[in-house]
Amino acid sequence: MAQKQIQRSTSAASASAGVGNGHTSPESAERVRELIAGRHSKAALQVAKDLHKREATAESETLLVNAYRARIEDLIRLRMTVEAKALFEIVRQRFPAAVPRFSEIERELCVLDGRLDGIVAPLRDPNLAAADRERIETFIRQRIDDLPALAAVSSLPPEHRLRAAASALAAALKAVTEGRVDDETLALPEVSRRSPLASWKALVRAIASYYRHEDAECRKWLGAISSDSVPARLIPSMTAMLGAKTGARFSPAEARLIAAAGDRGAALRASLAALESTFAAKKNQAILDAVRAFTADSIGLNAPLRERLRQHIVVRCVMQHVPRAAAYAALGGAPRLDAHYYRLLARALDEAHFAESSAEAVIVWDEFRRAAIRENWFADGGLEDGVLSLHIAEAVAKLPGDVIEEMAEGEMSFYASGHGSRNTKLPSAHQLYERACQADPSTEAFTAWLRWAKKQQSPKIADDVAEQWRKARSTDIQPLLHLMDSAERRNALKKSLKYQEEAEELDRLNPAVHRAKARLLVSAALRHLRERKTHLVSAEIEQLLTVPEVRPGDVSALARALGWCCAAVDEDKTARQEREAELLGAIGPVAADLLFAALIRAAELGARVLAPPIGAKHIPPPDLLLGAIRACLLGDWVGLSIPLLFGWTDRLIDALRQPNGSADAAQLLVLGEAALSDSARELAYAVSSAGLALGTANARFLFLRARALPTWMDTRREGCLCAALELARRERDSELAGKILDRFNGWFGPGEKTNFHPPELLSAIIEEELKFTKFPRSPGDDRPRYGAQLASASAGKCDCPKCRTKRGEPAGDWDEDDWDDDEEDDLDDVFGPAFEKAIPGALAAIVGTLPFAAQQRILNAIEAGEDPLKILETIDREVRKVAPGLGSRGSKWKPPKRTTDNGAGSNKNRNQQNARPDRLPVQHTLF
Amino acid sequence: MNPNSATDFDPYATLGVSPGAGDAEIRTAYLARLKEFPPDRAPAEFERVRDAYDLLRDRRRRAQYTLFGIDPDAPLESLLQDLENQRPFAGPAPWLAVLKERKTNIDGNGY
Repeated sequence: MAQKQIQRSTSAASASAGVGNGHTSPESAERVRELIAGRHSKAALQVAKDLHKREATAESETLLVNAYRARIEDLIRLRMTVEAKALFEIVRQRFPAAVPRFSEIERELCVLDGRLDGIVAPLRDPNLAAADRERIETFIRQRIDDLPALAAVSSLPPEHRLRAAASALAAALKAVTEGRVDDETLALPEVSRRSPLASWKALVRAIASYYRHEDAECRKWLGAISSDSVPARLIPSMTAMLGAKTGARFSPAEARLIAAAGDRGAALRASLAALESTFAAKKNQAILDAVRAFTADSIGLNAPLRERLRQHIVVRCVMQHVPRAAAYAALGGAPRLDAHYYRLLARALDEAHFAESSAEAVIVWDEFRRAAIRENWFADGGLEDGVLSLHIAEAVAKLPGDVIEEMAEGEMSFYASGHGSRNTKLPSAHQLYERACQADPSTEAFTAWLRWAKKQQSPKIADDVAEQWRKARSTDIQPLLHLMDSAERRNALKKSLKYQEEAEELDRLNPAVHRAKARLLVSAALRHLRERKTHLVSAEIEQLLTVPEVRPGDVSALARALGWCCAAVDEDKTARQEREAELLGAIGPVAADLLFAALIRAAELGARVLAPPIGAKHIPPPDLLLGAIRACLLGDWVGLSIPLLFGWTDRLIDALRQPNGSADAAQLLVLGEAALSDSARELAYAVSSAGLALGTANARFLFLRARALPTWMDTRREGCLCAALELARRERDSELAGKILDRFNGWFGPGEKTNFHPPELLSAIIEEELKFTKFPRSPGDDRPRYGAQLASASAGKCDCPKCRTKRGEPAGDWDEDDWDDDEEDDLDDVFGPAFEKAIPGALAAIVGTLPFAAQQRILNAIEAGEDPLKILETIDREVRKVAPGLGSRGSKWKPPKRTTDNGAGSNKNRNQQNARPDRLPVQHTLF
Repeated sequence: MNPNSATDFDPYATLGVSPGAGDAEIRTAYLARLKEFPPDRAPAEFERVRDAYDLLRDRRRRAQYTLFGIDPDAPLESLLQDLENQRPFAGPAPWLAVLKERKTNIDGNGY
């Protein structure tokens, strides 16, 4: 090889020596120039060599030298230092005259070798010509990238400012790339603005600003770097690291730097913001594209965070009904299905507020529990397990019965959780509550369990729960109160009194215990009155007089009223008149009369005893109202139902309509509840009007109105309930909100129509309901203007395919297999639109023709959830009372003209119906 | 990582304790934060600290926060809170490697 090289050298030297004055062919010369310009230095050198060997002219020699130069430059650029130096040595030997033209390359090779002494040595001379100094400094600025080598040059004294600057910059660069630095490190007084290393100073400060997250400052310092200097080589990569999309292709070294020191957050934030906007737009394809972009941008992100993001994205996709497989594919695989994932999905399903999603949330929470215990989030049977089990139990308790049955049988298939055919069997709500109370025997947990148990058909369940509560928390009064109440309902008064004594021993000052005692004693007295054992009533009256009073005179009034009943049963006229006079003096004629009537009814004294007439015509309406309230408060305290349907109820309603009434909100609410429990809907409605006018407890009065409205006022009832629920939520009145939700579930189905409504709708409902002061007597009365707004708000989150299609959402994500077209057709035949519209309207119209008391009975039966067939029988019976010959040939009764809530009976009403999307009463509102 | 990092209010971060911190550690952290943010000088911070302590001092409330405190609709970006300071110090080597790369020829045209 060396011999071959020497031979070539020799031939080249001889060729150089024998350079003639002939002309080089223009085509060949042009070919060499083109190859050099095209950076094909290797080919250019070969062609130039052949040309010079063939022609050996001065021009061919120049071309050859240029080709050598281009080749050496390329080798330097490729960091092939050894090859570049060997080639340069060949040029030096063969073409000594051309060596001065290679001075830059020579310096470059010195830089690559770290031999900077020769380059910077002239700077030692203070009399160095300005042009030479400028040339060397430019070279330093553009070429020297090894600061430690520059700091160590022996050709300059150690105190030379170039060496001092290079040394300081090398230390500062190391410091800023290894950790946070203070401003003193960045001051770098050794580096002046005129120094050839000034751009390095700007670079050091740019890097420091980058690590301090002072991005604007960083950009400023990057702008201060001279574009032809060595530090400028970092500008593209640093700009990209600051989050700017440069579109540049990065070299391997730049890519390594970005991977090692780049801010993942900037790029990720941009891609996550784009993903958020696609979620908001609800376009599945755009979502999947954005997910793919995120997947690409998140490569290299620390694994736990990336996995967390993937889990959140999958949950968001699931809730947006993006096909699960497509989401997984866009993410490059399924996320880790761990406790965090299940908890996130369960929370999302909780927030969806639909019966289906609530059922699915229950399954996913159970999955979370297992995963969390497996992953040691908490221990099986620990506090967290108790809290979680209580949450699941509460969710199960709110589910419709048919869904619970499906879940119990493990037949339910789910979309979001992906359980599909998996066994989805769950413990019952009872088991869940039990587990919750065992893990966390708190008052809160037992209260929830007992609340659920009280709703069950068998009272024994609630009693068992109360007994368990007693055992677990012997100082809690609530289980004793329940057991006392339960025993009282079973007529086990002795047992009830035993519980009452225990409760009294536990907490003598508790007003609930006092109230329970009073209620129990009154109940016992009434039972004895029913049995005509008046001698036993006296003992109860004596005990009653020992109960601390809430309002002065209440206990003595009750005692006198009971004494009056005893006297009436015993036909002791004197005692009766005495008690009557005492009671009239104590609580006034109206309250006394109502109390007498209530006791006569409760004690089943019937026609044998009559309450004294009060002469309501002569009593001013405000006094009537206050008397009724007084009686209701007393009745509420001892659990005595006060009858309110009298001949003078209209006068009471008039009193309520008078402005500046003397009753406060609490008193009105007691009166309203008493009216409802006595089926006096019109009175309850008037109470709600008076209460709304006060403006202090709108949530409760709207709830009262919702229950007082006739069944056919479907839209208004929904409006009142929605507004009441929203207000209760705002006032954080969870007890009231729970009651309202129970009503919602009863009337509209679990989870339906309970989503949040806009504030303007709330205002519209309250404003309009304030104006509806008269009780609606026919379906055409008082159609609210807020109906359309309410309908659209209620439908806003409806998840049925039709509503989703209307909102521009994909409707095909429903599990089509669950629904058979034939099955739908069959149902259409039976429950088609015509049926839905016609039957309830017709029934409502029939009920509307009956006497008011009969209407009330039927409506109460519907709301109490009685068997629809039995209700139909009641309607039939009531109709036959009105039209005895119905069904026979001689019957003169004719069915009423059909009218509906939408007033379809007149043209005017028909127009109004067209103008607003109000609903007809649907079947479930009647049954 | 806080199990509920996708939420607006992080009581653990507010008190500067880890999610696995015990009652004593939470109380100590709370008292330290109170000294740092007295109500007369930093009322807003004081309120946050008090809210955080109220949430974490009661074991049941703490469990409820751990289980249900996460917001599934929180912006995805909020998960990157911890990433804010993740500009890793990689040392001078990767920076110098780029500085030693030349982009154009050595005639002085470019760098």
